[in-house]
Amino acid sequence: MHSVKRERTSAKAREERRRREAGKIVEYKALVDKVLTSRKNQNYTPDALSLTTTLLKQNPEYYTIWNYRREILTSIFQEQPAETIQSNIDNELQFLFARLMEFPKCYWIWNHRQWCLETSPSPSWKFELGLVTKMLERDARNFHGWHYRRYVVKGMEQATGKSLVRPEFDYTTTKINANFSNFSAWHNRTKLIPRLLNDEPEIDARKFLESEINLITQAIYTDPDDQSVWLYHRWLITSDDIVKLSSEERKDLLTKEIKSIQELLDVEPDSKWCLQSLAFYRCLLTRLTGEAVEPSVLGYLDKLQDIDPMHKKRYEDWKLQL
Amino acid sequence: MATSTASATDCNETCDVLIYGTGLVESVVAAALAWQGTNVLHIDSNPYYGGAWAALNLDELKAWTDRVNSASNNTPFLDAYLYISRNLDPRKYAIDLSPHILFTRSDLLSLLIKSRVSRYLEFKPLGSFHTFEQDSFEKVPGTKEDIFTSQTLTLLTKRSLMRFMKFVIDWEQNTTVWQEYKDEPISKFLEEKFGLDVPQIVELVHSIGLLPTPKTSTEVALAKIKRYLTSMQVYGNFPAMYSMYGTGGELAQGFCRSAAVAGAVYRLGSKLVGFDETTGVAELESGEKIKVAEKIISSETVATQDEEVTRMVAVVEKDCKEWFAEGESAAIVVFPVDTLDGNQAAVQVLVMGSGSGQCPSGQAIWYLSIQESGELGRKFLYVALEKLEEAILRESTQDFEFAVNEEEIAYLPNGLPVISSVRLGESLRNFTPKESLKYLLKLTYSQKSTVSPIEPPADSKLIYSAAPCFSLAFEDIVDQAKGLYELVTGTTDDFFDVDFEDEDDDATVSAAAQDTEAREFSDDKDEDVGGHQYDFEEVAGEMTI
Repeated sequence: MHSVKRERTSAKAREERRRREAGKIVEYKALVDKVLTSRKNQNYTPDALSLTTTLLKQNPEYYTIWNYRREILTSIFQEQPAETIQSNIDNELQFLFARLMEFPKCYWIWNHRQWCLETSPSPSWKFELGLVTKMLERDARNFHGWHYRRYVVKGMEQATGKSLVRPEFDYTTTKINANFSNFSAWHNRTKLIPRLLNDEPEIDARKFLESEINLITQAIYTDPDDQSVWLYHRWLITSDDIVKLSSEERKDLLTKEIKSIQELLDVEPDSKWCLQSLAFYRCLLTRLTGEAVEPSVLGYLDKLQDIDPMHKKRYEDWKLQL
Repeated sequence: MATSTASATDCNETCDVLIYGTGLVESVVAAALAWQGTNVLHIDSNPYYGGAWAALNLDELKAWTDRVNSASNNTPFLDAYLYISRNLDPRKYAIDLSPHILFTRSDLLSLLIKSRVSRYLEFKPLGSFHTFEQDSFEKVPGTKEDIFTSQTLTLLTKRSLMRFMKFVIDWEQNTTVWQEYKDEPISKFLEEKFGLDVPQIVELVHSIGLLPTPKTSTEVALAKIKRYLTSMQVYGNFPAMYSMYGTGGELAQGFCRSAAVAGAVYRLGSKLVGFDETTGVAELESGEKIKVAEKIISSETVATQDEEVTRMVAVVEKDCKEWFAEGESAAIVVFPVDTLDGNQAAVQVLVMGSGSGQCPSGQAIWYLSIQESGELGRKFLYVALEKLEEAILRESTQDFEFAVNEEEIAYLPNGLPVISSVRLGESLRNFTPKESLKYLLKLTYSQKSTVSPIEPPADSKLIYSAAPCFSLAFEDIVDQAKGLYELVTGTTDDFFDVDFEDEDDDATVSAAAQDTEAREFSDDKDEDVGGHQYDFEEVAGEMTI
């Protein structure tokens, strides 16, 4: 028979593992000491670079070491011609890619990548866009990725002189259709819409706003618990960056949306976001119409204190301000 | 079965357990027993594996038809009518006698992975589930994204559907919601408790739950609906799979192979003709005698229930790719109750394209079934067949023109136009196809059900296993196998409780599945969670943009 019955991990095996880990900790501390001493001595040699490589592979969050690494590279690059710098930067980018796969949400890795592109004699924006697209495929909600994407797109636009607003806008649509619980995608959309409407003046801004409101309403009704869709809705209703609505138009819009959310509240009476949004929009409307605050708002705030006790004081404050 | 008069002394062979019939459940038990050290002799009267679950080539199918219609029929099948067009290469077809799909969230898949039998098989995804509504096939919304992007559901319907989906994922815990409807029809529960409309109820019941009727009790139905929805979360985009060359038969063969590796002995073409309870001697048609120390598990069960399922197999000269999702080669179509002139049970259709390995390219196999007997069953299957024929001719025809009115077009936020499929159905209702569909094979037959495991009389060595279930998805296979296993060994504690030797990582099974396996079967809390260690340099080098 080839097969063996499963054995349980013995206390002995656990002790073994603890001993191994203690050894690793001693090793790590020694490495850190070595690197920091090297920096104190202003050691900017390739050997020092290797040291930082080893340390950063283990702990990419140690941002001081990334700083040191940049000091080393800057010093090395001083003596080198552009092609050598480019080739070194490319190696650096490869190193960073591997780090990113393991730690996709580490600020310092993305930051160092940005530094590489700024230091590079001829950065490949196309490659970077492909990279960030791949990262967002792995995790569409990685805000580091979205932030970096905006940086790359900007770089690309500056290099080519061509606006990428339309394809980027369509990209957010694709991401949202795949999963609309994505604050970063909606956020990116808010950055793109004003530019889009500017770039394509043939778009009827009011009709566009209407279709966006329709889209977000689909999302709100599908998942009223999702924060990102409510925040996007609020931006659509209150922002002046899409289209300059007249006071009358704004009032009509608010009234229409209040009605729509009220219908949702009727079927989901305990929806925190429905109550909050209704309270907010009704207050906003009263400020425009100059009328007194509706008693229903007080009702919402009371209900909110019940269902969202963690923010009880906030609702109390709100009530006092009315 | 006749009793044998042989004595223990003139036996050619001995074994602990004799299993008669290489059906899926029997094969799982064979492997389970073999891996626990039992001496298993597994035989089948057919010259092929799989028994009632097998997929047959055309020659085997002809022989099978004759056997089923003969006086000595001991299969769960009856009334087979077969038409085969001339000039077909018999070996290029694998006709599945009991077509089934495998949901990704299922005991059977977990067992396949755990036992490594999955490595003998090639699985393909199945994510296209259609309901026949208003003369057209609507794709079923099964995820939050489907519901969000749907152009046909109203806002309030979207909310109701989502509320139900959230509930059903955890329905067992929320007894207060459904307890009073436990034995009531699921349609009543969905309407009264969740305010769902008829179209949504029909889709949930028929295409997501794969239930034969909306009258199914709520408790049973909720489990089936949950199965589909939670299966969508395993590999993403599709809730079910099938194996190449006919799922049931291939899975059975896989388990037989596993049993053989563990020491079980296999013999095809061996018919059992007698068994003596007192001496424990089994006699084969060849005259050989086998001494059985413990038990015989036989698939030639005699206890049948009244219910029948009527089946139809049609091989068509169309690839049917219009019905398949991108990258897939199969689809499911359900004709709900009352959509075919009064059918009281749904007609379920499994469409297998050539990508399934069951037929040559340019063709497809339509497997239809209805939980309705004989003449009535066949009648509804023929009506469904006509509708399928109309639909495929309509969707695959090249020179087709129709006028679309402005009102029938809606615009997505990104500016792309989309035609409402409901309205499309209306426009197309008057379409008359210029060509007709060529059928290369047509087979109809009925199948009876059995109960398993049938409680054997005390002290009896003979245990019967059940015939394949009527449902479109595999159901209770592992439970049935465990039941039989327990009747033999007295316990289920060591059922497949084996550490299989690790071969090289198999690419066929995704990391997600292995993760599930690790979580479900690792009872050692101190174990390191073994993540896949990336070789970074490799990844960087292979990156293509």
